[in-house]
Amino acid sequence: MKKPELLAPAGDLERLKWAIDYGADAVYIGGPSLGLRANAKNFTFAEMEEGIKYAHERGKRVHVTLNIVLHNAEVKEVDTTLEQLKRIDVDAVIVSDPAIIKKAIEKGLEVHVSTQQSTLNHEACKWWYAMGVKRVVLGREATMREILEIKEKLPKLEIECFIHGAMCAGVSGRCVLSNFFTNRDANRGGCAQICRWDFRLYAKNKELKGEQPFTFCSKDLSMLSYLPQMIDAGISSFKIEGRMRSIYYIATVLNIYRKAIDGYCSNPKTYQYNQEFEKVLRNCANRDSVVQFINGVNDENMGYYNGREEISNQDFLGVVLSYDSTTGFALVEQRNYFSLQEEIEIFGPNTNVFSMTIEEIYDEEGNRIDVVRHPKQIVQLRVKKEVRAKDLIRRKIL
Amino acid sequence: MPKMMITLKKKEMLPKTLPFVDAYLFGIEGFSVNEVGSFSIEEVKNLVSLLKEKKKQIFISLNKNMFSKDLEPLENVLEAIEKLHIDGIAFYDVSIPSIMKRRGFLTPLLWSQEHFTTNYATMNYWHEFNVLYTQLSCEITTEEIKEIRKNTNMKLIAQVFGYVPMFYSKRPFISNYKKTFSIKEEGVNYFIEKAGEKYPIKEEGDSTEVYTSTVLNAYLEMEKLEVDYLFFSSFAIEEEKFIEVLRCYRERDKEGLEKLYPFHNGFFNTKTVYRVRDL
Repeated sequence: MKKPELLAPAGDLERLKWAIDYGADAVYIGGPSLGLRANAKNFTFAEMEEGIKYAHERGKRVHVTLNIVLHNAEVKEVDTTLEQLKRIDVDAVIVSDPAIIKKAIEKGLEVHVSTQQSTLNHEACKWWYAMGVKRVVLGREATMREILEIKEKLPKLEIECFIHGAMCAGVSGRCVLSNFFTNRDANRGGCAQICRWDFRLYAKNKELKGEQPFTFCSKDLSMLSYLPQMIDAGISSFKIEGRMRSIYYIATVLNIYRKAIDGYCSNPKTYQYNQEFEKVLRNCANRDSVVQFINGVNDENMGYYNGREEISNQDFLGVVLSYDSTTGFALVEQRNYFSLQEEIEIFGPNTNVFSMTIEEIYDEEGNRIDVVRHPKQIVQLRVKKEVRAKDLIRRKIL
Repeated sequence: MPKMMITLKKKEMLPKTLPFVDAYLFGIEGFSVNEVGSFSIEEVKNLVSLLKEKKKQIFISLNKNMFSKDLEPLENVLEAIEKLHIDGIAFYDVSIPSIMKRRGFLTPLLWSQEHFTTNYATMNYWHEFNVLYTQLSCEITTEEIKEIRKNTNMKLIAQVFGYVPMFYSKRPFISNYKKTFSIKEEGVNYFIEKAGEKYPIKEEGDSTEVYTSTVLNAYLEMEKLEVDYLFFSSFAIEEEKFIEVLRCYRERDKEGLEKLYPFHNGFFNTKTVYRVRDL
């Protein structure tokens, strides 16, 4: 059994480093141009170089997204961008446009076909493979049948599948709601998520009114329960969605999937699906998640029809900056309000999650305090086990 | 004058459109989306011989996303179309050029990845593979189309009339909503409403399509476009009105046309925004 790559998003250099530290085998990032997340912070070429160096020193890979829907104005940028990416030694480029794919292959870059192409069958895969493409990121609508058939017909072609994160309501690339509603170009990074708006539904002129408004809003994707089948199917890379996600989200999701993948691959017979892991994942995104299309079921449980509001998650409490083993205190930088007697959990790449009650907190001057209410406030927190820099503290998930 | 191309939703439309139309685009059951009509192969054969007699161009649209289960029937359909010697097959899914190449089929292709057809470089890529036509994205400007014209040998098709598809999903949103809230009413002519605008929405099988709230009517822009075909979509347009629209375009009856539908240029003169900070 080949262990799949765990591929994480990174919206900037800081997140790239966190993703690598939290167990990603590879990260995907956007450069200054030709990417599909125009509103993410994105990387300069200098930052990319630094990120690539950081990743390569740790035996990890960096993939760069060039999956914009190309307009004439960008055609002239393509050659220069590809040459710069080659120069700074990126491991792969993720591309949807065949004109860019062709050029990238000619320049010796490893090419992955973006999910924007919605590749869902082996004939389309054959086209890309014949061009010299190394990997295809399948459309999110692919079922296990598609995955198995593609692997059977083209065993040497690498397949990448999304395993976690937000879903497009439409087929990728076939939605321009944002263009028409807000004049923001959905296929060039400007998606305004119109699919999450409420609408009124009519048949002829009669309103069909449910208890909640009509919407296209989709639940998130979580493939945790399907992980063994996906590994057995020979998928090369498991992708987490979300270049605009927070460090806490990326670290939490990676931490769970790293454990699950390693657990299954080290001993498939004893591996068990962990409900607690799923709970942590749901909590951190604050959205329901389902397996979406993989099992061929396409029903009302895949979407939201409950008029939910997007309430920001307050579970992320702080980051461990250092630990003093002689005193048992951790130096912590606050992210959300917490206080004495609160039940917390601490986890990290090398720290197995443990829970504890907060019993002692001191401010920077050494004064004992009851609450930590200021953003980025530095405090000393007594912890019951050894912790490490970059471990994260969250409210205990019940 | 560019040629006029229309979607043919039903055979009965044909006689009245013949005086105004140069090219017809229609779909095949199970392989076509975005309201291009849906005929069986047998019906297509009859239509093709009829249209050939009338010296009309014929394009067949197989523009859905193809899943594994679609491949075998798709190959049979492509084989049947190859024998018909039509002018082109419109495709979205890359499986179509892949099968055509493998089987050595010679029917020209029409690149119809509706929102991706935005630049000349990609058109030139496809042109090397017997893709001779491109249906242009409705989200690009006249200036961009002119630049494409200068830099490609593709025959260009631009929609100038009708509702424009803006969303396609493999989720049955109307059924799901009705099921969730136990809504029993069966409906036709569905639309969704937001801020007073009504957007046609259509569910077919497990897919949903949503269209613009306004009818594109780019009469004032058509001369500037420098394209080879003007495309007219008949979706959700009354048949008589649609025929009259075609007459107006053909006969340059600007006043008559304006009485039917206000002029609306879509994105021909409006550049969409790339980054939010550019707003």
